[in-house]
Amino acid sequence: MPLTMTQKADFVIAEFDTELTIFNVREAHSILQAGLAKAPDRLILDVTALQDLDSAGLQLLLWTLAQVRAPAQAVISAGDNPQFSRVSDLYAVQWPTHFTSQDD
Amino acid sequence: MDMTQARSLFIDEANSLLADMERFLLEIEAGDATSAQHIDAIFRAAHTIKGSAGLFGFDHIVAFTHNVESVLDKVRSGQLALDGDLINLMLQCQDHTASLIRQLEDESSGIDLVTGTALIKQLHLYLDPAPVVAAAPTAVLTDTEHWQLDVHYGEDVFRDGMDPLSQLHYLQSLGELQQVRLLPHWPAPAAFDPESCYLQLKFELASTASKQQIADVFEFVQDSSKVQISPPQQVKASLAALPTVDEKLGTLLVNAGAVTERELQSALSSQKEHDNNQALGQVLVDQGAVSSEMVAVALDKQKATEHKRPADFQFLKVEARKLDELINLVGELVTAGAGIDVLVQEIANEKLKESFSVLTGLLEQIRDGALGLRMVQVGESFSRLRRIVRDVSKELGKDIELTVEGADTELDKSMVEKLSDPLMHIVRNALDHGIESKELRLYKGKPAQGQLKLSACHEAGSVVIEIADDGAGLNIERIRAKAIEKNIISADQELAEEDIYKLIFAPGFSTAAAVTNLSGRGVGMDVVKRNIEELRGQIQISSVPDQGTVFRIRLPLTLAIIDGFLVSVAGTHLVLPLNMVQECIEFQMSQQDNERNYLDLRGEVLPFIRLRQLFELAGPPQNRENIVVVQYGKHRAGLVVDHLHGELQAVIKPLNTLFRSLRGIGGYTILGSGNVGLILDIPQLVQFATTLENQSFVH
Repeated sequence: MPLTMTQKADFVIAEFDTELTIFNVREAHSILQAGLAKAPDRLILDVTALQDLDSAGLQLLLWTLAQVRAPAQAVISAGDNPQFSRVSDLYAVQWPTHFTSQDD
Repeated sequence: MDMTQARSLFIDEANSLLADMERFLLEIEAGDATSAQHIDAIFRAAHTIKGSAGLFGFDHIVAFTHNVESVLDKVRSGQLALDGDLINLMLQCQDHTASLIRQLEDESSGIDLVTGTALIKQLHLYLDPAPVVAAAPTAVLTDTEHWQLDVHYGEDVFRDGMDPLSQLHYLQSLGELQQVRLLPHWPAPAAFDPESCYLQLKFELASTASKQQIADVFEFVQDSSKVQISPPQQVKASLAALPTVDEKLGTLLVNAGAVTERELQSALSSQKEHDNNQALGQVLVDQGAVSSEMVAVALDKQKATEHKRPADFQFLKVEARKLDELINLVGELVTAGAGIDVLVQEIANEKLKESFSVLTGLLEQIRDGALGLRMVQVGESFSRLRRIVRDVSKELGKDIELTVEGADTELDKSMVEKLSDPLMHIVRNALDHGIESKELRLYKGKPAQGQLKLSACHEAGSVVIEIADDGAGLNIERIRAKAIEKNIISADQELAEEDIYKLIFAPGFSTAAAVTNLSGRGVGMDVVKRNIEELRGQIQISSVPDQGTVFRIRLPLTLAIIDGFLVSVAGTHLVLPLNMVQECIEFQMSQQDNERNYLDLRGEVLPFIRLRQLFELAGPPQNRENIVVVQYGKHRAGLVVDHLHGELQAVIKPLNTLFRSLRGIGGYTILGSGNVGLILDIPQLVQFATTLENQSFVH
């Protein structure tokens, strides 16, 4: 399974396994779609364990973030994952990493 | 100079400028030239006509051309693109201006205000920016310091095993990636397929790599994605620094590394496949292959090349009347020279003979030079036909490609002018009735695009012009039936294939099922034949069903002076055009069967004519006669004459109208002795000889 989705307090956490590539994006998409259907207010995409990420995987992460509409929010949690940083740097993608306060 | 003369000069100049304008517009439309190459000349034509018309107070011409000039000025300054629609409009404006000029010559015809007003309205759409909806190119590129890349990936890229990430990674080995922007184009949420690619990537690459090297990175996604690579300013500088060579725009851009071979081929195919009237440079800009600035630099380079060419377009305008006077005088000089030649032969002084032969040599050069002044390229007529083919094929909804060969073949100017109408008529007939509709062609297994070929070449002292189409060919049965219906031939009359084809030249003949406004009225083909015969020419037709028809027009090179061969029969001097004379042989009547006019010439049957009998010349035949073997086209015949006198230069004088009906005589000339020499019409005589012998064989 490419990811697992769990509810922790106010957050829904999508915890990705080591691979998110063209070979498992369809399955990952199904799981994410099911999670998104519940319209979480706070979504954390945890990619700290990812070792293998390609453009299809990156596209799925971007798409997921785009599906979360305000006032709901989604962030990426990458920690110091070098593989994830390398891909993000190459594409010059700036990920949201912090939730903003509702009062902001 | 009186006003009438000045006005006539204006009309002449305007017509010439309009012809240039039409030619340049058609060249741009056909993709043979870019608008940048010709826009100055097109603008100058409109501007000059306007200016000159103003001098004469032709205000309606000034008003109209002012609008045309204003639009052209916008094209010149780069505010407007001379695309297919605008070329079309400009051609209509050119037509209308020509009609305004014609009206000056023939004041009985009115000014077409309706067309003029409609055209001005259309021109104003280009002048007033608001209503003009110009299709924006997919991306307008400008030159920057680095390579600019815009890659819109196709949806199948991931599924095809491609990853844009690896391309970015590889590009890092060629240089530094800058300003990378990832632009996803999301579909509706329900339509999102995670295995489809929705990414667009824009970035700059600081690299010394060539465009080809960069393009190679995207080789495997080229077919499924849209890849635009815009060169940096540095390439523009290297393009400007390239040595000036005579290259086409595409080659220049490829050589400079601004465009890849693939991009060039793609642009050329786009031009051809989509019947794209845009110039190549514009297509490349629209495809995002290159910036318009880069194209402008390349065009400037081309212009520089053209300026370096020898001034082969510098002409001196001379009144046709003055040229005719010169030719007449040269003709008189030739006649006077022939007179002196007779005296020189009588005096028999070697030194005098020698001096006179030098003079004769110079005289021949002057004659050829003077005649050469009247020679113009037959392409002048062909270029007018280009417009007709373009307009008529559009009107008929047919896709027809016109090929021109031998446009630089030269012919006497007066003949080119007189040839215009017959050629136009034959071409219109070929377009209208010869070449089938697209649907019918495809049904017959032919390519949808019809072919029309105009060619000219020199052949045995004549100019041969061919108009060949790959259409349905002439239908012998239909021609025959129509000729019987129109009482041109009787129902029981047997005719050879070639003679049946000739029936289409009969007055009032037309087999076209429907009369269109282009042709099919039965008026014209008889006039075509008459016009060509007036030029001492002949027209032949060959046709193969479903393969096409060829009209072959054979014309003499000039109407003024010829190299002739002088013979005599019963004291009458006759001149044969030397280029048609094959050989002279002795004719022994005793060896001949009096009933039949043919002889065995080294195993070949040679029909001959006894000119004494044909022209009913008095006196008994000489004991020793000669046969002059003449050839015209593929046909040969012999002419029986008394004496052979040798070569001479003959100034052709037309026969008085009273004698025009004489068969076999094309004109006359004054001989050195002062006698009159009749110039034989060899084509007529050859035809007569072969027909006569065929008839006597049948009976």
